[in-house]
Amino acid sequence: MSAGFASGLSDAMLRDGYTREPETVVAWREVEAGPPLRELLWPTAGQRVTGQFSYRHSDGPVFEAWVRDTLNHGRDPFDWTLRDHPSPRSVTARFLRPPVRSASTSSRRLYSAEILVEPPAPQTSALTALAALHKAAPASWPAGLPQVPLRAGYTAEPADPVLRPPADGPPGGRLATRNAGVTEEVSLALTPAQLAAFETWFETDAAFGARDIAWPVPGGTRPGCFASGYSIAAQGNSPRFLVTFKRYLEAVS
Amino acid sequence: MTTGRGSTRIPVYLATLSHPALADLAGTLEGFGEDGTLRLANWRHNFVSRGETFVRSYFRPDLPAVGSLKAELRLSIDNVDQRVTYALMALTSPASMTLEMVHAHAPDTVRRAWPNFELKGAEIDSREISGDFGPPPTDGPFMGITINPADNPGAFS
Repeated sequence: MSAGFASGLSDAMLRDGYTREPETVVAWREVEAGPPLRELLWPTAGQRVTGQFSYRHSDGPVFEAWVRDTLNHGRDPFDWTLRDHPSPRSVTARFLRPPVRSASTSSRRLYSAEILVEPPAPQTSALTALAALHKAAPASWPAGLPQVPLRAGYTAEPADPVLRPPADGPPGGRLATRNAGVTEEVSLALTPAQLAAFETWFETDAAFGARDIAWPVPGGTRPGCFASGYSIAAQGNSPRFLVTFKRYLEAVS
Repeated sequence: MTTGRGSTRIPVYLATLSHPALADLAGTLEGFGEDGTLRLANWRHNFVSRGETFVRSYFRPDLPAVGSLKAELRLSIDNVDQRVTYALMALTSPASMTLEMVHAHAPDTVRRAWPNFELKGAEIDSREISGDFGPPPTDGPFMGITINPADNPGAFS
């Protein structure tokens, strides 16, 4: 049983500095050649949210007393609302640590908080649907999402297929495989509606990153997979959220 | 193109610890049965398999390697609610343990099983319990047949 939010206070975080990162529920295991092995461990994901609450000076003690007395210093869960999708979602959350009073203006107090949103209970239908994707054909990237990642923050790291001798050893090396793909770190700028569509696709079609993905590349698609979970960050006053993740693209044969 | 490296069938490990002394704990904490068992599932919620409820828990199974002759199994259990600590303190002789693996979407079908392991030793601290399990001791010679005058006099007559 979770407690309601502090009475009379808004449970909305400031947009500036807001981040959210779903719990990683896939185990990635690197192998000598080709894409990593992925094993799905849990069918729903909790969320780790960081951000700031802003209250008037007169309301600050109310918030602090609620955390201390009602939530037992942040141990107990409370009802909260995630607001980064077009429609708010009611969730159960708990503070990872007591909120820190970080700064004050002449009229308001800011509290930095780190919140863990509990994962929803797994549904049998979702388990069955995920199990049906076992070693399935690659999923298609949703058409309504950006097909090209942002230029900012993009990196591409090719896998090193050469078994190299120690630095102080004789020169040489052996080519272990020609199936050396590329791990890219990509960012997308998504509207709240696109973010909701991406997350729904990630949790169903993409099986939280365990399934193979046909990534859109100029001129077609390229097989690969997710190489990490994703994180969401608000960017200043921009209405879009920045979604960042790593993806693996297979070698072009 | 390399495909099929993604597994979406979620494994759930079920541990059944059995000992007559555990029957005394039935009714005190969830998970202890009247038949002297403690059933734990490596799952965030209570897990029902074949009509039995396995209590939610968190443990790491170190399984015997494929082809290994040692048949040693180790469980590292998160010591959050001290349920397993009570169980271990109640024991007066080695408990037996059966570990099973099912898939979350088909909880009644056992995909792999490691039955009849016996508790060989355990370490408890405030955060984690580690239990070592091995095969129960046998009555007769453990393995191998030697041709010697005492056991096979006919070979020496």
